Amino acid sequence: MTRFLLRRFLLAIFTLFALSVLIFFATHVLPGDVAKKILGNFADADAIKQLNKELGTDRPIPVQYANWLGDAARGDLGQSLIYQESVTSKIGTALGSSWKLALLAFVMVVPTSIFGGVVAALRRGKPSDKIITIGSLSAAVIPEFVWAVVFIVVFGVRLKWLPVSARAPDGANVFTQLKHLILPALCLVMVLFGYIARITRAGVVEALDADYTRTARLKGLSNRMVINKHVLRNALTPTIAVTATQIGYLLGGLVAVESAFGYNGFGLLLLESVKGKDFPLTQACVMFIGVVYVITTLLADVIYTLLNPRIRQAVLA
Amino acid sequence: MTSSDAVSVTPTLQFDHVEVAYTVRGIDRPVLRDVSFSVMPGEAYGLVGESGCGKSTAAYAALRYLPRNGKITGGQINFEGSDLVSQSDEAIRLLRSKAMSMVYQSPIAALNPSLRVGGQIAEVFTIGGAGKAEAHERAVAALNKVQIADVGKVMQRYPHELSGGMAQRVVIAMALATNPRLLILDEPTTGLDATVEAEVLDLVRTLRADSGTSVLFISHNLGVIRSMCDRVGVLYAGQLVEEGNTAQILNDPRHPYTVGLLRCIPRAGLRKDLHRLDTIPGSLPPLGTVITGCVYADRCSIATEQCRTEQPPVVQLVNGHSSRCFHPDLAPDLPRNTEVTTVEVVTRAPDTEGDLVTLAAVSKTFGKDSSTVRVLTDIALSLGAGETLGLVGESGSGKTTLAKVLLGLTPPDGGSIVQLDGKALGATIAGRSAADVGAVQIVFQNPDSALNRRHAVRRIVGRAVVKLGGATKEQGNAKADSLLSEMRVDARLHAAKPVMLSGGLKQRVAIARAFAGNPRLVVCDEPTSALDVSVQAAILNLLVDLQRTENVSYLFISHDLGVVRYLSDRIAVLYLGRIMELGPAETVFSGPHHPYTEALVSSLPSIDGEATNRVRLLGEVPSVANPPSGCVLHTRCPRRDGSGVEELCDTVEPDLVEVEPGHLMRCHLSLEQLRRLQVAVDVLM
Amino acid sequence: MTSVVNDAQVNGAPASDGRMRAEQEAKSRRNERIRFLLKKPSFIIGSIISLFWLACAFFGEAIAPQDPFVQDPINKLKEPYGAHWFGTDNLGRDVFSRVIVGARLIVLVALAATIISAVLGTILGLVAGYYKGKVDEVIMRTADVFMSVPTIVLALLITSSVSSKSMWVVILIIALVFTPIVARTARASVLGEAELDYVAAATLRTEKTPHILFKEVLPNVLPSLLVEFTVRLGYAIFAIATLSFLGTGVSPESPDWGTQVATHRGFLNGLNVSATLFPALAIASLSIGVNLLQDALSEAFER
Repeated sequence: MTRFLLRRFLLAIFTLFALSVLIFFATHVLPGDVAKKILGNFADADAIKQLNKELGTDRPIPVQYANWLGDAARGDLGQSLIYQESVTSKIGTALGSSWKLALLAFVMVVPTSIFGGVVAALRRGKPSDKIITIGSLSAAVIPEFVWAVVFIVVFGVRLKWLPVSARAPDGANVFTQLKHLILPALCLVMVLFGYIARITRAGVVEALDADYTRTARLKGLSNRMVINKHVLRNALTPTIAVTATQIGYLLGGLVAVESAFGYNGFGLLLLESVKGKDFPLTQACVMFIGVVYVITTLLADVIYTLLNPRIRQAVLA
Repeated sequence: MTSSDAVSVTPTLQFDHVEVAYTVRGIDRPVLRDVSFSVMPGEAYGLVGESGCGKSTAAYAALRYLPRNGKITGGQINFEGSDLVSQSDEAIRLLRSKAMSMVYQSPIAALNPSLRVGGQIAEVFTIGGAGKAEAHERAVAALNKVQIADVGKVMQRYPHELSGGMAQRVVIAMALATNPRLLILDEPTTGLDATVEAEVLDLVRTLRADSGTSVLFISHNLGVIRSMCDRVGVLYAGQLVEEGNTAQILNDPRHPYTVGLLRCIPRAGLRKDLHRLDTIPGSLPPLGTVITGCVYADRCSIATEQCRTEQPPVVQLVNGHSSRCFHPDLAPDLPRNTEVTTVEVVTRAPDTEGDLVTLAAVSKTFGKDSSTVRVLTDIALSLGAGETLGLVGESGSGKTTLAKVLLGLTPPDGGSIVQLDGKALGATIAGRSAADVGAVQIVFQNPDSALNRRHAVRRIVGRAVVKLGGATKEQGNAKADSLLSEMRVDARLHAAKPVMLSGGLKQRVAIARAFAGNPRLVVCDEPTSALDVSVQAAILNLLVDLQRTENVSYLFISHDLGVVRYLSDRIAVLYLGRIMELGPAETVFSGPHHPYTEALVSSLPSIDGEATNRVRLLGEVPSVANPPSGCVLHTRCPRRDGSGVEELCDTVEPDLVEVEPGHLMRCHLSLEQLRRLQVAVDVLM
Repeated sequence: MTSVVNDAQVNGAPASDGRMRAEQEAKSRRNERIRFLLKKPSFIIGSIISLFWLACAFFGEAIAPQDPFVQDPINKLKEPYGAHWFGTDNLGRDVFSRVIVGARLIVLVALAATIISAVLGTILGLVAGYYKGKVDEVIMRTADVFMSVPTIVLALLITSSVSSKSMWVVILIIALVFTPIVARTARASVLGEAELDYVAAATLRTEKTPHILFKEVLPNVLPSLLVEFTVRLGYAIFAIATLSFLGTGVSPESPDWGTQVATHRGFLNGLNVSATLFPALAIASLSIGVNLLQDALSEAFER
């Protein structure tokens, strides 16, 4: 067991390491002259030289990478160029508002999508299955900002049920804050629902068709017992893994949603950093998303392993 | 087709003119047509037939568990006198939990992978209202009943940790836990090794004798049916064509289908050079075909105009024997479709002394460093031109690895000698000349896997001709056409993709491909195990013909000892990667044989009756990764105890020595000693 | 239930009509998938939508009823009325015509990016799945890295460091991000396929590896790759539209849906809905159209 965990852990570390190389490559090597890219083509040559020196981008690439990695390991992600503030505190503030949105979306999507997937599977081939399956998958391929437009037009402009801005007035109570967050969260839900529902449905259908489910029925178990004890138990393990990996994607979805609703959070920060060529901030944001993804998938794998005796045993052996 | 003598007793299960249909694309397609039979209390009733005849559908209909598109469209299914079709779902559920149960074909898949075995058995009792502790206790008792050695341990296991045989015991324990009045077994031993199959069948027989449960036994294997059932019904295209006492049906069949089927089987005493197997022309009508006359008329050589237009009646013969045929009296003398004896001129006798292929000191080790598994140990063999060497052994014995080594698909360990015509063959295909590659070819077990489903069969064969014979594409295609025609694949099908062909035709294409490069040796890896008996017979005949005309040698791998015996000149018996016995086919089969061979042979269920003295292997096959010390068989050997050389067996591995001319054995017991011990074994087997 | 040719003819039974049937079956089998697809509503609707936007991408100017560039400052930000079915935008241009012409960028970029990633990914996946071992390890670990960050974020990262905003830059970025993902799918199908005996049979007639990969294995994994292609196409549309909306995509010389949404969303609060809503719905319809196609194809091939 420990050997498996260790291997899985080392793999995660490796992925993060490789990701850091990729990010470094994109922000330091791809642009060519970093300072020139930041200051623009017509900037003064001395100013460019000066900035390159400040950023350390005049040194050899491997040295730059080593320094960057070393600093990052010590928690120093550098200074943001556009905000003139430490990257760490900037990200911290942004996450302080984004977590509410992300959590709300996650809490809304997980139970509903799993439920939807189970229902679709149990009514396989019937109209309700088709509606859930095709509907949710169609919803999932529509970009978040398109959903934002549709929701704003329908619920904000026409029906006037919900505020179209995600920003609640300062000092608003939790309920008001929540009201402002519902539409943005719903955009994320629309995109995530389909993935989780599909995996859930596939898992349940496979379990329903399995020989052991036939055995359970022919033992004389009631339908409810068959579903609860035999079908769902085997069907929902893959769902857990998929659900966990969606947390990383949720962070990516924040970019478009926060931009569409003008919500000052992590997504908007990333977007601003990209537009403002704020390389230290961009690389930190991307790295953060990668770290979240790798950790959640690692956890998902561990949970999946623990829940699945077959894999657990193989791992133990 | 209920027997008229059973009037006073209510049958446990009674099919009364049952019709079942599957709805495919909106159309009802009949699967069972007017099926009537009864299973009396305490009786074991067998349903036998080839794939697609509807026997499993009958089994599941009896539990009212049909696929989502299946429905009972007519007749009654009575369980102890009350009709199942009209009962509520809840009533059916109660019956399943108490009165009837089932044993399935793939036991490991039939158990829930994420629950411990003990819990799954205990569940049967909790449905009945037992408390947790009581259910556990009764689960232990149920497992004890199926002769599982370490019950406590097995209770804690997950299904994937069980061997196939062990899992089937668990399923049987589960099925019998509530003392059901009806037990349905659907191909319970298909896919298990012969030795394990024999154990499972023994167990079912014992338990049935103890409990008096009625049994409905579904199988394609007439030998298994013979050993298990009192009466048998023969299904064909969803119709029961013949019914009667098992021995009666097998010894004196009165339906042309049953007659033909029995003639297809390579029974003991038949030999490829003396007896040609009969075949059944044509094929099963596809699912849902509308049939006005007799379901078998299209394939029956004594069919008349009446047979094609009118449903034959069920004709009662003696002793409850009945046949759904207009001419039951003509059936026994049904004209053969093939000549009784093999090809007119025997061109050459097989060269059993020769050395077309020589293997010496062949070993194969997988893995490296700390975790190595030696799957072949010191194999020495030779094969003459035109000779067939049968290779038998349980799964995991190394049969397929040995084949791969010969073919160059798996390089053997250093020091192994693999020669063709006295010249070393390259360890891998890359190291062999095109001629050498063409000289050693294979017919795989599963043609669906062996034929690229995206290519026309002409291309599949033609490409082999091109690559192995250095021909142009046109020459290759022309040769492919003539080869395929030689294999009796109709010219119109040469442009078809494999999916269009039946299993038998696909295997003919695979054989054509194997013969594309003028092979000297063809490895046949279970070439007929995926086929029905009637198709198998035609394929075996083809292989025999090809051997005569091409003087090719076969390495014939099969778990079906009957087929191996029929086809082989010599037989090698493999166990844990070692040759345990090697000798002329008849010698190996008739004995005295190696204790392992003895167990294999005596586990073979025969359609000609029971062997009197059954020998069973003890316990489970040890892991190849960790073979026992001394003789690798000593942990399971039926002849070790009382042999007087137990000490030797446990510590020293015996050599493979010639015990009589041409007969080699790896055993510490002397031939004489074995002869004395085995003298009681039925000569038939 | 397709019936197959049986041993009938082998044993010389009168089977001439059986042969005829077999030939017909062979032909009909070839067309079975197509017939199945043509009967599926999702395929028909998906095709109509996708083909419509494809036509717009190539012949937008000809289809558009008005010149999408003509400004009419007096009639700006109008909701739909007779002359302008979708209303007018902030410069008084016809939104309907701009939506029609706006299909070009997204459709072409998405198609080009997906095709490139499909070709490269398939080759990498075939190699990884067939050779296994180290090659496989390297390709799959690379895929892990690329998949550890959402596509859109990865694209943002790269756009930030590339000054050119030409169409080809966006195409290459999306293709780069998708290639390892396609490779993963291809590898998964090859892994199962390489175990089949026909691959061993090919080596047993001395075929070289490229032949085995491209002539034997590839045709068998093509259906699942076609499905994967439509999946990727959907994601490409998603990503390209989002990049445009965020203002980090291709700087458009011609109208572009994402940009149109971004430009006009400020007017949503009371001033004008149409100029934002219709381009957004255009994106939604294209996404759904491709998704319906994908759904129908995967069902047809997985049956």
